[in-house]
Amino acid sequence: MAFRILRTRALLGFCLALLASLTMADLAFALLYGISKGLGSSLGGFEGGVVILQGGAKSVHTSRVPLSIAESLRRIPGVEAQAVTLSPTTLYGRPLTVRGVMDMGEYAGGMVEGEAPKGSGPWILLGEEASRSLGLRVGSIIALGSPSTPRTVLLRVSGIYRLGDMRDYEAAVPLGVGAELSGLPWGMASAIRVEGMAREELEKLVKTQYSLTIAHETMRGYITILDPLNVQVATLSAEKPGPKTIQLPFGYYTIIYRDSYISANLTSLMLMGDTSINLSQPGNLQRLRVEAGEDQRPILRGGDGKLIPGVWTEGSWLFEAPIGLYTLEVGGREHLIPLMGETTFNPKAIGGELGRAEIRVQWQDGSEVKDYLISIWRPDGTLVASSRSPGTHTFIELPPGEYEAEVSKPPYLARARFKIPGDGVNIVLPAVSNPGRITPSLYQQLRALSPIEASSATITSLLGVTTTSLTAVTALLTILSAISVITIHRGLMRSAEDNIEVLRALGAGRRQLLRMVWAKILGLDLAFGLASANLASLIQRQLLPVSILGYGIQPSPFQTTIYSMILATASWLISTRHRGEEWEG
Amino acid sequence: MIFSITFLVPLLPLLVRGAPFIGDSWVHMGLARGVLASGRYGLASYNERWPLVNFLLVFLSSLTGFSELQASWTVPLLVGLSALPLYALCRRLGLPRASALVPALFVSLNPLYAYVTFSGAVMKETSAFYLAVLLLHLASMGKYPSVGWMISMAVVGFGLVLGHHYASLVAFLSLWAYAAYGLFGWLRGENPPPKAILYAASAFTVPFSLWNWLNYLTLGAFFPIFEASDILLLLAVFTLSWFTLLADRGIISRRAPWLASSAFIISVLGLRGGLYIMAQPVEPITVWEARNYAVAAVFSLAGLSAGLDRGPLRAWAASTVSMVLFAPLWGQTMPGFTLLIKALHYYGILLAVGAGFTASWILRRRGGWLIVAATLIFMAYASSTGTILALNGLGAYGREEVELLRGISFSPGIKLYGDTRAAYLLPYTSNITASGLKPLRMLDEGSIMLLFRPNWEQGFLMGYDWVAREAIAPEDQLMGRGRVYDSAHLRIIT
Amino acid sequence: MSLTASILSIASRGELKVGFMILTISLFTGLVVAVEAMAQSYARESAALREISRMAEVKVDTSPMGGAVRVYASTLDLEGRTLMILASEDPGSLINLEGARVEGGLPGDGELLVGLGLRTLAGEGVLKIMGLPLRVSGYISSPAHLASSIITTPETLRKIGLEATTLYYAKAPAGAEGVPMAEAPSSSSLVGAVTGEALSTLSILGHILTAMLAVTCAVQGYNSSQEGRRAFRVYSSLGASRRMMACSLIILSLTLSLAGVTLGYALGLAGSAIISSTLSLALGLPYVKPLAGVELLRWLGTSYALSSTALSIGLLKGYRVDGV
Repeated sequence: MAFRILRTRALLGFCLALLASLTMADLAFALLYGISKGLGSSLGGFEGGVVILQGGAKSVHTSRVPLSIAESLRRIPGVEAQAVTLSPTTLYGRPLTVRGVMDMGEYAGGMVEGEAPKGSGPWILLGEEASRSLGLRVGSIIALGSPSTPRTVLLRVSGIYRLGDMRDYEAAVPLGVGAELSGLPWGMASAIRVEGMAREELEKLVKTQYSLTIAHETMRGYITILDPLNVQVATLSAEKPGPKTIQLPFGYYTIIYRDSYISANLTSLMLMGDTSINLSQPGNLQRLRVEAGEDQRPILRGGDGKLIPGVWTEGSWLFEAPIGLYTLEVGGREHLIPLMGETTFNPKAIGGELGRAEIRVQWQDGSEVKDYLISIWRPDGTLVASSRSPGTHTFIELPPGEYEAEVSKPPYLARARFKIPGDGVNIVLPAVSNPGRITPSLYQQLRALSPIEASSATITSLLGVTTTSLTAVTALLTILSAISVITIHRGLMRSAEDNIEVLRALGAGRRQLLRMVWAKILGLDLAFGLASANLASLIQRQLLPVSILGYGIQPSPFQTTIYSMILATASWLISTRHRGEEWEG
Repeated sequence: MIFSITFLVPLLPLLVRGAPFIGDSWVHMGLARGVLASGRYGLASYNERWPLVNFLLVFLSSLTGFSELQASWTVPLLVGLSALPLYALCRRLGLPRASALVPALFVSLNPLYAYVTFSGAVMKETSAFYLAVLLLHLASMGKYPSVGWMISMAVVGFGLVLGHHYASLVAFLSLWAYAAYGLFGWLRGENPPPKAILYAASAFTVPFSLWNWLNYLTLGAFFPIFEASDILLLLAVFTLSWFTLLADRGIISRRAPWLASSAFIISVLGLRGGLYIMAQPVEPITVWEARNYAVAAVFSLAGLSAGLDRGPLRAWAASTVSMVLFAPLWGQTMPGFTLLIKALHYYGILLAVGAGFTASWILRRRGGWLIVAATLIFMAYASSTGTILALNGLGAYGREEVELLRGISFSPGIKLYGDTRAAYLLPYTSNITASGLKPLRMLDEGSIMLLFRPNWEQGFLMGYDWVAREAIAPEDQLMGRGRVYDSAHLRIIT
Repeated sequence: MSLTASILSIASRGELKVGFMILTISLFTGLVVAVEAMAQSYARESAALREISRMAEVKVDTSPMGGAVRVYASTLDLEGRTLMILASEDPGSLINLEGARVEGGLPGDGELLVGLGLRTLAGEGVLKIMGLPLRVSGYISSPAHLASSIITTPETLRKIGLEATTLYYAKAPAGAEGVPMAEAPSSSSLVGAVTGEALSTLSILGHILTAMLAVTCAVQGYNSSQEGRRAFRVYSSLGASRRMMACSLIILSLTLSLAGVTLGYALGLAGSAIISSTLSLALGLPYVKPLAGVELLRWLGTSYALSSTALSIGLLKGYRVDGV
């Protein structure tokens, strides 16, 4: 009946036009929704938590945040902090975002091919979507260019992962490689994602400079403060009396006493507010036992030439002196003695058949260490030998056995075990050779943002123009498509005016018309709404794969269907209501 | 009395300050003086290519023997006199006598922007303004054209083309809008074919296109920021505006001129809402200012739909609303702001006529005259602040400044610095060109800087952007510098 | 009044459902115009962005390039670390292109230039790879990404027995065409890549919309003919021939299409400008003014041709079917 009233041909036209318009409207909505969702979460992996960015940075890609903040935050119970670098670059002219990550655990758990190597190195993991669009397999060697510096990095594709979010459109590299690509100086990252702390609290924490007041007794040497990356942030003279106050940003600090070639760890603290500490005297007298004959009368001299008297007791000579570096004359030879704690020295330990060992000392970045003190200890804690070394390689001749080498380059200390005979030992000091100093003002620029704000800052900068263009187009598409759908509905209503007038003249009321005609139209609308949503999804997937900065736009079919049904119903309502008002008028 | 108010307002700068408003005035007076001296008119510069205002000054000066400064009173007077064709237009549109007087007052007392800054200036646009109103009035007589009508249209149209590019553009769009509405009405059988307006529009198109195209080719560098794409955008906005007023009924029709109302909001946003990125900080709008705008909006827009069934007004609405809408769409920087101000001159006419229709409706009620009078008095009060600020602002000149500068002779070759105010006035008074604006601390040895009273009280004009005084001449530097000349209105610093 | 004028007159009074037709044409045309105008504007803005971004200085590709250094790249795992081995006949040029600093000498056959991060692996100046002892000629002290890399000669790499990927490194000449594997700085190509993504999307949208326009116009024309059959019968009975009716209907469709396309042009251009302006004010995004250029006029022409043809077909089909 309804079809006869509406006339078959008009209905056919209406169906085609409605399908076309609804599909267009759904496509526009899907794009709009997908773009806004995709753009908003294009830094996928930042969902949830808080992101620390450099204030004033136009985007995450140009932000610089001290890595030490992440290291310090991780030490707070219940708080997780991950530093990341983000470098948008191109591969074969296609955009690809490369994420430098501290901890590959999550990626390792999502591998679909290959594996995530341990440690840093020239390797890269590709997201599943990225590998598909770039056509790369595990084992490929690729070159990536830094967006801001003339550096190219060669990397091997070690694996492909699937995490189920926007990171599948990215690639992941070790943090150091990411920093290199981003042109970041050592000790910096693009952003830090934090979980377990509220945004306002975190921002206040990282932006504030706190007072650290150190009280100590007067002693020789210096007090050095290291940040969690073992960078020296402050050095105070221990010879000057009185408490000293310095301003430092939030962080986990280690306080080290150092004098000449000696250093001792005094304490560590988490600076989250104004703090005063009282350092205990590291200069208490330490005991040195020298295993020499009573007649040998060893002489111990301090760095200032002062003689320290020894006492013959219990078969060895005993000296008591504060921490420091001394010279011991015994048996016609001089030995350097680093006195850090209770020490036993046997001048006769080196004798008999000797083997040679090479000790190689370097900074974390591989560069040479010069001018340090190297001490060799037996496993029982007896000091065997000690010398100052000018260069990165030191050769030691010792009797066969197991030893421990200790390198002291204040404020850094490192140890390693080795055997003679053997291949020698490599000792890496826990710092880089020339870390850049991070100015305190950088901390005050830090901002804590919700992930969407962080994404918006990124998009505004890098893709501001793209965002405006696409959003304007899709917003207009959505509006005009919706108007088109409503117009088509009203057109159908008008086309059936005459017949419906006849029905009214025959006594049909609104309810009857609703039941006979309009309800059937509504059913048709809903069916077309469903069909057009599916058609729009199909078109979007097959014909219209949209991506922004390499991130694929993934509209939600469910959201699109809901929108389509609502649009179809709303246009039906507007048209029937309008018709009803006209008739009653 | 009403007409005396409308004549008076444009003359305020001359009456109160003794000099015309805005720097462009001096350029035209200088050109007129040059023509009078040489007897030749060149078409080299931008200000010569639309010669109406220059011709007016030259003609009056040579006829009366007055100086060009004295002759320049004519321009604001003519703007004031545009109240007469406006009154005639409103009567032709069907407004009763009392109501037809309201639009003229509204134009002068519009709180939307300081009308005196436009009407009190001696510029191309000001001299073309009365012609624009006159053309609109003539167009309204186009139903029954006569030879006299055609000659009047031709003369006024030609004058407008030579008067100002923007004014002639508004007229061009209005004529074609009117013709298109007429065509549509003819198709629907509502009116006879609009032959007269079609001919008028076509005839206007020829000189309008030719003259402006020729000037564009000659002065191309003068319009580097406008492109063909902008013209197409303007046409798009105009088409949209025209279409929204096409229907007689419905949610988008002349009965519901949403776009015209939106134009008012956009104007307020542009002037006070931070829509444009400008150097001069704009004070946030206060509740009282919002009230003033609201009163003006209601008074002018409420009755507008009643008048829009008249073809000429509908056409004027289509063109002026599109010009207002185009201004922010063109860009959100200073040139866009300039476009908005220009559009407001013509949009103001539409609002004024709308106010006339509102007044007509109110006056039919008991006590209506009281309401209308109170509204107009309130508008006078509301616009007075802006007027007073303008008369004492950086755009206004004073007789004292002019006479002081005239009395000073500068050595040839001297390097002289000053802001835009000085840059405009100096060539007229002293035949010397300023070398721009520099901070005092960067002044070259042997050069001098001119400061007028508004400079040390309010700041400097760089182009059309305001610069704080402290950026150019901080107090400490000012005190430490030598003064070649020092008076209440002028200081020359070395 | 002529038949054509009469039909136009009827149409202007809202008969024959012309308002609906014009609106539909204008909506679709508006969408096409909006897409194309924003696309052109976007392309221009991006070109400006590209100009101010840093141009590439170094390019790497798998295909030979003029003046390029050929490099064989391979990886190996040594003592739990992943290392990159690069072999080149001209290690000096490669070092220069990478901007690397070297302590020591360049490698000859059987020798290696080792990244500083691998220093601890090189005992007594010798590094064993795949059992092959190779002398370390020097160390690469910077940049940091070469810290886990080894540079050697192709002969040495052959002796080691690793499979390698061939790459070509070159300085990037200004204005060079082609898309290499990588370039640095890559900001310029990044802008180009993002632009390409967006323009591709907009182009497909435009084509889909144009196709939909044609379909919708044909359907609308057909329906309109059906609606106006009574009027057509009156004209026929007054002596209007089928040819005259057909001509009039074609002129009607041309006029309606013109009106629709004109309105659509206005809606699309002004609408996208308004939305872009609103986004700029509300969300602090840059204002992108839609650009109406020659390309847009081409699209308008296509829309007009398609819509008028489809409308004509629909109108004539509807007229004929009725058997008048």
